[in-house]
Order: sequence, then structure tokens, then C-alpha cells
Amino acid sequence: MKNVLKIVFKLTFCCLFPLITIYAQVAKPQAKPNILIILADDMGYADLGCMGGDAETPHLDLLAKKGILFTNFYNNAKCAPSRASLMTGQSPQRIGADHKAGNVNRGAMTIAEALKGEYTTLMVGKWHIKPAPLQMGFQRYFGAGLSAIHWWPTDEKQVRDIQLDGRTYAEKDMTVPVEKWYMETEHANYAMKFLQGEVVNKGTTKPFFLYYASHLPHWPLQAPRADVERYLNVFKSGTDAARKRRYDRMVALGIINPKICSLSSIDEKSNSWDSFTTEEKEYYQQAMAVHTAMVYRLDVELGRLFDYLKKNNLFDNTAIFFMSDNGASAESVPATLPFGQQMGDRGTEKRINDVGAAVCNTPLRGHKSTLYEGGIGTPMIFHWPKGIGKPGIVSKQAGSICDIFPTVLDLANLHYPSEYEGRKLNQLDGQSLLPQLKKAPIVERKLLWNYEKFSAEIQGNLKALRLSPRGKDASRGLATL
Amino acid sequence: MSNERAETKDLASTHPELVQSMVKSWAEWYKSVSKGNESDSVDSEKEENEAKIDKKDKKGKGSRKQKTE
Repeated sequence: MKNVLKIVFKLTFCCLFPLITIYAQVAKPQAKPNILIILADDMGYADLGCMGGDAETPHLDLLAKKGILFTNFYNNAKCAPSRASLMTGQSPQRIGADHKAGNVNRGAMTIAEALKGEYTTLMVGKWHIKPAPLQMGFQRYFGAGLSAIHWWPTDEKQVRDIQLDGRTYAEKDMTVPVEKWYMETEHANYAMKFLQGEVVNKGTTKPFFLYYASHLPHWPLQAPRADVERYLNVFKSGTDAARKRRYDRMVALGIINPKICSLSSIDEKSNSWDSFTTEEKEYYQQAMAVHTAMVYRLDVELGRLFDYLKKNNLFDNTAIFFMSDNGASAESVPATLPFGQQMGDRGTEKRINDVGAAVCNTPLRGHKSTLYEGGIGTPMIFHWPKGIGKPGIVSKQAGSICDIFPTVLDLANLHYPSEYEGRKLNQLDGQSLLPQLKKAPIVERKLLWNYEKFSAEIQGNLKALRLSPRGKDASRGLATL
Repeated sequence: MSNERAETKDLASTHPELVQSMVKSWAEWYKSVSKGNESDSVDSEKEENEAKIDKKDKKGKGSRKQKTE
């Protein structure tokens, strides 16, 4: 009897000891993840390599491969409404950003404000909402807040748009000659400079929040010549062939199920390759090469940023979100080649037009500023080595750009307050996707939009779309997704 | 029901009851998000404001900024 008790005691002790150790490890609060939100500008649904696109995007493809690629994710069809919802978690209508820049501090707080104090808050790139980033919770800011700028502007007015920590950025701040200066490279440079100054050099354990809002690949079409040359031959066979090529790749990658989404002729206007003149063909071949080069350049600069994070041991505990603010843009200009200049060079201002947008948004209908799938559909890549449940999956979970704010709050273990700095806050319209990021099953969503004459609603796999909410020329559409 | 993410087939006429319920749910949502947003609380007021904004843009800073959105 005595012996038995002894053994039991021994066993208990042996078992308890490692248990205590394990418990101590679990109970020790895990460091909050760094947050990196990357927003592309006017990038089409099918522009990334991992989405069947023609651009080489190895760094983003690797994020998708080791993270989660959401293929049924939605933005708000246009710059300002998308950016306002991304920053606040609210529908743009609540904060007056349904068309213009809105007033984010009317009933809302930004992610930067929510994280302030607990996080170092940094931003580079396009803001496009009001008030300015430094007034809305960011400690450091570099970028042009409104218009897309790639090469150093030839227009004086645009030069003044470029800001660095509350003052105008000027030629004296450059480390390369004006002719070689390219905005995206500077975005990445400043992202790293801010991280170096505010995080690495300070040796702080405080996590960081970096909002990286690229201008790429928004028009004007401008990219380094060496990048453009990589893609000049890619579009020789035309835009119809490019759509087919992308569609086939999407099917092969498991992004599109051919049974539920065909590659049909989707435009009202006939934009078939055969109907174009020789100059138009040359124009689109070059325009698409520059656009593709811009997507490639975005990936190159992000690759530098990711390498920097890895080198400083910051990568594995960084939760990265990547998406586009709307679909590719059909805002068009005459399809004529720039006179005496090469398309893509500094000073040229061409666009891919409706013809190019149809390729970039393959196989979806519509484009930026519409609530068709091509206007609001975007791939969303989530990557977080330390916290992801099941890496390497393509998720059909529907989600909205409004979901990012509550997801980030969840990641940072923070609650949404009812008031902030005297502002009474509206309710959030998004919901946290953290359970889905950690492998919870797909939940059915109800997502709603209003943009100019369009209204849309998604319920589960149903989508209702209406033109002109005021009854004039009302037309209704119902589709299953 | 056919599946079509490319939105080329309109199912509205064959499923009027679904359309009706979604129209109703959209209208309720729009009303709730527009609440407290003065420029949106009354449709006519909103139209007036939009008209004003458009006018201002045409008169003012030229088309560049307007187009870049």
C-alpha cells in the first residue's frame, strides 16, 4: 500500500513538473504581432502572378503560398470609399466618404488611433481621406496623399503634394538624380527608414503598424524602361489572347471554377483585338506592358521591404494584409502613342483604358467605379507565420475591406471603444476574420454597397445588383457567385 | 439556378421573390448607414450637395484631382 502511494506521488510529481513548465510558457503573454497593411491602387483581379497574371510577382506569390489567398474579397469600388473603410471599419456612407474624401473623424477612429500607444504607427503612400495621416494617429508619414505620382512630377503643383512628416518633400531630400527618382522605390525606402529609426534603432519591444499604400499600378502609365522591356512581347498576341491566357491559368490554379464562371464576352462595346487598327494594337501592347511592369515593380519594392523585416527578425511575427482599393480602371484616353517619347517614360500620361481593364479584371465583369465583380473584387493575401492556422490555402470566405479594422483590433487584443477623443463612434460594419485566419469554417456573409448609381448586396452566394437607386432607369440583376 | 460570377446572366426575372427581399434588406441598410450623416439623410438634400460639389470641381482646381480618385 505504502509503495503504491509512493509511486502515485512520484508519477504525479513527474507529470506535474513538465506541466507547470508548459503552462508557464502558455500563460506568458505572446508578443502582439506587428501589423503591415499593403494596399495596391487600381490593381485588377487577375494582375498578380498568383492570380494568373502576366507580371512576375514572386514575393507576393510566396506570401499567398505560405499564407491564405482570399479570392472572394471585396473593396468599395473606388479610392476614397475603400480607404475610408479600410482605416475605420465602417461603411463609407457613415462617414461621408461614399464618393469624396469624407471626414473620417466624424463618428470614426482610424486603425492608427486604435493602436496608438501600444504600437509604433507609420505610413507611406496614398491617403485620400481627411484629415491628414499625422492628425489621425500616425507618427510618421511620407507620400503624396492624393494623385498617383510615379516619376518625379513635371508639374510644379503635383510636386507640392509630396509630404514628409508634415512638410513638403523636395529635391534636396533625394538620394538619386531627379531623372531616376521613382515614387515606389521611395515608398519602400521610407518604410524602411521609419522602421529603422522608430523600431530597430530604439531597440523597442513595442510592435509596429505600417500602412503601405502604394500608387501602383494606377495611371499615368509610368515605369522604368528595363521593367517595361520584360513585358513588351507578352501582349503581342493581343488582349483577347491575354484574357484567355489569364483565365486558363486561374482555372489551373484553382482560383476559378470553370463550372461556375466562364470566360464570356462581357463588354457592351466590342473591343475585340481584330477590330483595332495597327496603331491601336501597338498602343495596347505597350500600355499593357507598362501596366504589367508597374505590378512587377510593386512586387520588387515589397520584396526589399520583406527582406529588411527578415534581416531584423521582424517578419515572422508580422501579420500582413495585401489587397487592392478597387478593380482595374477603365478611365480612358485616346489610344494614340505618345509623340516623340516612349510610353512609360517621365512626362508620358497614358492609360490602359477599358480595353486593358477587361484584361486586368479577367474574368470578371466591370471595372473601377462599378459594383460589378470587376469593380469590387480583389485578391486578399494574409500572411503571418507565427499565427496562421492552415497556410497555403485558397479561401472562398467572403470578406470586405471593412473587416480589416476589427480583425486588426482582434490581433492586437483591443476593444473598440464607444468614444475616442470626444468623438462618439459609430458602430463597425465589418467583422473580425481572425477565426477564419486561424482555420474556422467559412461563415455566410451579408455585404452591402452603394456607389453613385449602383447598389449591391451579397448574401451568401447570391448577389443582387441595381442601377440607379432613385427609380429612374432602374435595372436589376441577380447573380449567384 | 446557374452559377455565374462573371454576371452575364440575369436571374432577377426568374427569382422575383429573392430580388424583393434583397431590395428590402438593402433599403434598410442604406437607411441605417446614412443616419446621422447630414448630407445623406434626405435624398433631395444629398442630390443638392452632390450638385454643389460637382459645380465646385468644374469651376475650381481643374479636372486632374477629380479624375484621380
